[in-house]
Amino acid sequence: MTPAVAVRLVDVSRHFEAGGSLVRAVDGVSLSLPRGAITALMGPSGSGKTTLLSLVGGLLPASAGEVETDGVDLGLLDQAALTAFRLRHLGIVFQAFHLIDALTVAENVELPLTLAGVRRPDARRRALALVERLGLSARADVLPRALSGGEKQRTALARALVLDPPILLADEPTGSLDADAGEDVITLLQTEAKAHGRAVIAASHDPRLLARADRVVAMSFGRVV
Amino acid sequence: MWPRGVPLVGRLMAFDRVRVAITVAGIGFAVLLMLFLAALYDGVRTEANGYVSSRPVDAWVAQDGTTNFIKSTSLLSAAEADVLAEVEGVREVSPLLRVITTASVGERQVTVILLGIDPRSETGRPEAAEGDMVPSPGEIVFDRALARQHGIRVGDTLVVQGRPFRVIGLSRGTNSVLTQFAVVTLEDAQLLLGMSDMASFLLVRGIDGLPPEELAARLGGQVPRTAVFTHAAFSANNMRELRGGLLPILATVAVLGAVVGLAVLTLLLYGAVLEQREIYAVLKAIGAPQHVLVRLVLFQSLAAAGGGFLFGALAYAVSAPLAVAVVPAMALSLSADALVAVGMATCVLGGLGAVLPLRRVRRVHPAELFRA
Repeated sequence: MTPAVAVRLVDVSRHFEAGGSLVRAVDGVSLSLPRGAITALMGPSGSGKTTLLSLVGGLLPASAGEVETDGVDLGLLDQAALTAFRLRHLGIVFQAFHLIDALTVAENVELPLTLAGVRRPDARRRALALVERLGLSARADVLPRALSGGEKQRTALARALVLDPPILLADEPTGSLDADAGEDVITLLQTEAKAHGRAVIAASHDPRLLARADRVVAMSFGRVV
Repeated sequence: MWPRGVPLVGRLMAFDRVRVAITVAGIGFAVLLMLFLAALYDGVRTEANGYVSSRPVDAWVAQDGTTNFIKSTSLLSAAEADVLAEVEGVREVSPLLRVITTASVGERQVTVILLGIDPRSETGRPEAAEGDMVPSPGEIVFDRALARQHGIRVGDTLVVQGRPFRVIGLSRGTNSVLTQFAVVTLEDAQLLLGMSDMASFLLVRGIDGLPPEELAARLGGQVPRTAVFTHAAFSANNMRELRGGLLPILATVAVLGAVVGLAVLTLLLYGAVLEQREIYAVLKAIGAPQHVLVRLVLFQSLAAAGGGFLFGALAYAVSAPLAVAVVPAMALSLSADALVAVGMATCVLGGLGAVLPLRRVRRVHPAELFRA
């Protein structure tokens, strides 16, 4: 049986040196984040939201404490194992979308399937099904430069979801979108959390997302407040 | 290979066409340089030794201390041919006199190596490109590359040391690259040298079935102060002289060409990695293992190198005939082995060119994608 907790942080810190002084980007954070819900991380710039997302995603190692994501202690994994873990367990959405401009919408979505070793016909079919579910069928074969901001973020979301990860990390997912497109993306995130049981963890300033989140974690100076 | 699926390598290269084109052209010109030098290397090897190696003889007799035709002086008495002709197993002995001189072609002065041959013997006759190869007194056979360079045609008259010679034929295999051969009668060459009864070498043919080594052994010591070589040994000596002279220079320039190609490839691929930094970060973030990234960079590098090789080979095919037309004395002969060697060198360049870009890719961190 899948545990209800998707992410567990125990006294986690991330410190680094900058300009001769110690920066405490995340400082002694302990949290348990559930599945099937949106958890919003809020706080001013530099409060540690993005660093916390990086720690949960295994993109940065913790300086201290224990990060357990989808039941796996990330501190025990080497780089190769972390990379493999991200492929199967995490979907990541960025504020700046970070789609690959040389690939079409469908190919961007298909890319994680290729990395996971899924053969082309099956990968293509799965990617197109997801593209259709997210309302991008008509744009499947165009390059990202021809998309609106909302379409880009939906494509990025499709790429993050195509391997059906239990956890979705989103960094300011509505930060580069207009009001309507932002609303669409929030609805999609809610659907992923509620209908598909994913743990959606989003760093955001957007009051609409904060209002519709199941839980809001406020951060300041690297700490949960 | 990149995992079967999304054709990312091809798409990235197609998306960045200008950079790829510049990379391919850069490598292509380096390949062109290497091919030219390899062809020149082979050309010099075959042309410069072509006259000696194609003589239908079994042994060469030279002045003692002389080991080759290219960088040596050898003076013998032509009458010694009669002595050697009496040796058992000898079918024919033919003197050959080599004189470095200047021919006047209109207003121009052309340095040639004049070969005085016995016109009755086949041993000294060059291979015909056009006209007659058997000179009579006052006649000359000219190298075709030199003739093309100076607009000399069969029937023209040249002046060599004040004496007129009518051109009766143009020869091939007589272009030693730095200078070319012209063929006259032995008597004319002796007159030009001012020393009658002189020869530089005696070319010896044995009877059928007599091994050249046996013939050389029988000739040895028959005439004082001479050295006897089998034809194969004498030809090998010439090749050794060539390898120790011009050829290392060509090889050095070819290596420099490869280094330039490597620098171009590394620089442009490194630039591409910097520009595609975000793509590598995305791939790392979504779970691409390191070996997939290595293949992505390596395949781009090898594809650029492969394209560069094709570009260079095509450019060579187009430009080599033009180069020979402009500089007829240029001896170009691209062998299949040389082509394969340059192809393999380009492959190695493709691998080496990926080393620094790969180091850069290793330092790309996926967490940087969170910086909007």
